[in-house]
Formats: sequence, structure tokens, C-alpha cells
Amino acid sequence: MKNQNIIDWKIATLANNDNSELSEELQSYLEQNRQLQDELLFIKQFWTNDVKPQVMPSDKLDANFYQMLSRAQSAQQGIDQQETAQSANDYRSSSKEPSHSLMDKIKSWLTPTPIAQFATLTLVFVLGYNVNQAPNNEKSSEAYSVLQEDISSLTTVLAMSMLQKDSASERLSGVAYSRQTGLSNPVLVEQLIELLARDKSNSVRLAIINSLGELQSFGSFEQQLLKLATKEENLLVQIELCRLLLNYGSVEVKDLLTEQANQQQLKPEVQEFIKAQSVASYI
Amino acid sequence: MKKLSTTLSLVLVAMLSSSFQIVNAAEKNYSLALSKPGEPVSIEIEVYRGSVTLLGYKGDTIEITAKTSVFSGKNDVLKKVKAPKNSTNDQARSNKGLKSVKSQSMRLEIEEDNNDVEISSELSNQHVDLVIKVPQRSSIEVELHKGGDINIDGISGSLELEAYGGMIEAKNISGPIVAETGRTDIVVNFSGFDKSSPSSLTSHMGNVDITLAKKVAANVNVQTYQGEIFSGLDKDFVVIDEIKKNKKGKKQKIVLGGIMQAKVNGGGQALSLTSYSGNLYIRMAK
Repeated sequence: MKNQNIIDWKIATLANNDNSELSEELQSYLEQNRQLQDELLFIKQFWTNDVKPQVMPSDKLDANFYQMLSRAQSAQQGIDQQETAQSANDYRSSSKEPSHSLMDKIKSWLTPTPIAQFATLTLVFVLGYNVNQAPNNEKSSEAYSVLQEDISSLTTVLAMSMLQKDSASERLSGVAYSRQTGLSNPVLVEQLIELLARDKSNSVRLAIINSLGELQSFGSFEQQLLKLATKEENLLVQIELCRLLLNYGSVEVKDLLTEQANQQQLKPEVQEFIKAQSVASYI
Repeated sequence: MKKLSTTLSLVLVAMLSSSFQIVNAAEKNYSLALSKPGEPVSIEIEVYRGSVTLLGYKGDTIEITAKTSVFSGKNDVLKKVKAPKNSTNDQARSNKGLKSVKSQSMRLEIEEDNNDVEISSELSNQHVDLVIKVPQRSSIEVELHKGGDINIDGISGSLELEAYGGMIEAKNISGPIVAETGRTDIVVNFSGFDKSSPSSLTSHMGNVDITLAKKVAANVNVQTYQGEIFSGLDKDFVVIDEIKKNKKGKKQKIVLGGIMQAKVNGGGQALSLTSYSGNLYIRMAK
């Protein structure tokens, strides 16, 4: 129980919900417990995101996963309530409609750093959960499915946050996390395509194209991808876009690309690639 | 990098003038103390023309050696400029009897704000060779437009490198690294491999050559369209697109230029190597 209390205190401190200090008894307990110190260090490193964690979570820490999930949800509800109250105040003071659109709300929910950091933390715990608690009966299988859904949502949040980072390697992480979600969230797909159009790192753009192969169907995004493919200046990116559309696009898009290649509207290397793809599809 | 605060930033602007007509090079050393010693350091370098060498060390200051020279370019002769139309003198101006005076000024900007450091030399007629000693933990971003190479040695932080004219060579690093060249090679020697984020090396027409330390665990992805792949790994490369299609129950199909993957030491974070016409070399350190 002391472990639990100390971990709860640490999380509350990091989340700026608690400025109190540990009691002498707990402080003394902590000083004598090396493993717990490592766990607190791990939590702090992950939360502050300043340095790479040097220690791994233990089983006890793993057991706190659900409680922390609940805590994060409560915290998020608090944020939502504050936003609602703020919107109401704005409305009363200006007698105008609140300016927060639904999309703004979604974005504001998805972008806070603590949430993304929590999602990162969660993924670590889930890794342990998956390894140690594989479902072996119907009940646990059901719980496992629910957990999988939670994880997919958290991974989506994490992916969207990482895609906005300044560092190209972190954006690559965002693409990798996007891929893990199966790209079931259209807002995430939209963000990926937007990044594909403007990211300065071609490595990130190539990774995005590769991840888009996970989509069951391009749907309304297909025309955007075709436009990007035909206007793209970078050879590697253009070839990969064409490869994506030729492999997973509709028949109409494949015909359009082939026609553009035949009419020499694309770079010679891309024309050559499309022709080679066409030959391969007949084999 | 975000806009730096004017109140807190330390700005060093070097404007050196030399009176020696025959000496085209100037060399200057700077030692830059960090605002927050011991804390993470982020360094962003942008050089229009020249070379950049970064050496990681155990110290906590940034030691910069900048050697600049005037880039003479191809057109050494002054252009003849026509006289204004309303001038009574309709003769074109001539440089006969005059000698070309090269600019001897040097401009290098160094800014520091809360351990975020920016170093830039953006003059197109200036060639600058930078040798910078940085704390090993530094995160580095370098953009080199023309001229020489980017060399990195002994840095454990993240690396983001772009060289449009020269090659990129990095050794004793663990990444994550994202590097890109146009026609030149990328050569990287990994002493370890960071697990936090993927790494990616892309050269459009150059070779990509990596050496992995024995302990490195990674998913190595390779893709080249017209080049060849040479591997010293004991694991085979497998086409991952093909695996994906089988998983979805779709029929198999030949995909040209698809990505192949090898799991080194059981696999780990992604390390992608891509080139359009260059070769890819994957070596294991002895």
C-alpha cells in the first residue's frame, strides 16, 4: 500500500495536481526501497520526456496501469469541464457563439503533451500486459479485446502528437504508431496526408506513403494522393506514391497513372517504373 | 527551431575584415558556454557553402572553429555594365586596368538560448569549414547546401542531417538518425542503436553504407530501385509487402522496388535505407 501511495503521489506531483511533500514515514520507506526509487525515476523520465528512461518498470508498477488510466481519464474530464465553462463564459461575455468547432475540440483533446506522454507510458505497460497476461479464457479474452480498443485509441493519440514534433525521427515514430492503429481513424489519415504534402524530410514522407498501404481503401483520399503523385518533384517520393496507387488504388486511378506515363507527363524514371509495374501485373 | 527570445539569447556575430589582399581565408575560434550545463542540448546548423564536422566530447561547452574563405565561383571577371540610357557616354563600362577586389568579410552567426544553439552561415559567396566540439548528448540538426561534407563522430543524441552537395559520414553514433543526400554517399557506423525512434538514411543517387556493432538489435529495411544490395548480415532479407498481403488473405503479387527487411539480433527499432540508383551496403562490425 505504501508503494501505491508513493507512486500516486509522484504522478500527482508530475501532473501538477499536488505540491505536497511525502510524509516522513513514506520518505523513509522510499529511501530504503531501491526498486521503488527506480520506478519513480522511470515515471519521471517518461513523463518529463527529457531523457531516455534508464530503468524498466517492475511488475508492481505494471499493476498500477488501470489506476493510472482512470486517473488520466478523470484529468481529461476535468480539462473538458474547464473548456466547457470557459466557452460558456465567452458566450455570456460576448453574446456570440462559442468559437470552438468540433474539429478544434478534437484537436485540443488530441494534442496536449501530457496525454501523449501518458499514452507512451501506457504502451509500455500494455507491452508487459500482453507478454504476461495472454487471454486464456472467455472472460479474459473479452477484457483483452476492450483493452486492445483502448490501446488503439491511445496509440492514435500518441501518433497524432508525435506527427507534430519538430524532430524528423519523432515524426517517423508518429508514422510507425499510425501504422499500428491500422489507420482506422480518418482524422489521423488526414493528418498523415497533410504531412505527406508538406514535410521537409523525404524520409518521413516515404514512411507515410509506406504506412498508407495499411488502408483497406483510399476512399476520398485517393484523388488527393493522385494529385500529390502527379505534382511531386522528388523522384523517390513520386515513385513510391505511384507504387502505392498502382498496388492498392482503384482501377480508374491505375488507368489515369498509366495514361500519364504513356503521354510522358511524368519523369522518365517514373514512366519507366509504371511500365515495369504494368508488365509485372500481367505475369 | 523555434524563434529565439531576444532577451535571453546570446548573440555573437562575427564580422571580420582583413586587409590582406592575398589571404583569402580567416580562422576564428569561439567557446560558447551553455545556459544550463548538464541538461539536454539542441544544436541547429545551417551552412550555405562549406563543410561541417561535429565531434562529441565529455565537456559542457561548445567549441567552434570556423575557417572561412571567399568563394570565387566560376566568373572571376567583372561583368560589363551598360551605362544608363540617358547618359551622354554610351560607351560600356570596362574593367580594363582594374583588378578584382574580393570581399574579405566573414559572417557567422551563433545564437544560444536555454541550451538551444543556432549556428548559421548563409552567404552564398562565403565558404566556411566548421569544426565544432559538442557535448556527446547533443541533439544535432545540420543543413548543408553546397560544398563539402558533413562529418559526425561520437554523438549519442539524435541526428538530422541534410547535405545537398557533399556526403554524410557519421561514426560512433547510436541515433536516432535521419539523413539525406542527393548524389553523394551516406556512410554510418553505429556503435549502438537507439530504441526510442526510427532511423532513416536516404540517398537519391548515392550509396548508403552502414556498419552495425555486434550488439545492435534493429529491423533493417532496405529499398533501392536501380542499385544493388550487399549484406554482411547472417539474417536474410524478406519482402515485407509480400508478408502483409498474405496476412490479409490477398493473392501474392510481384512488387518491384518493394521494401525488404532483416531482423538483426531478434529485431528492434526500424532502420531504413533507401536509394534510387545507389547501392546499399549493410555490414556487421568485426
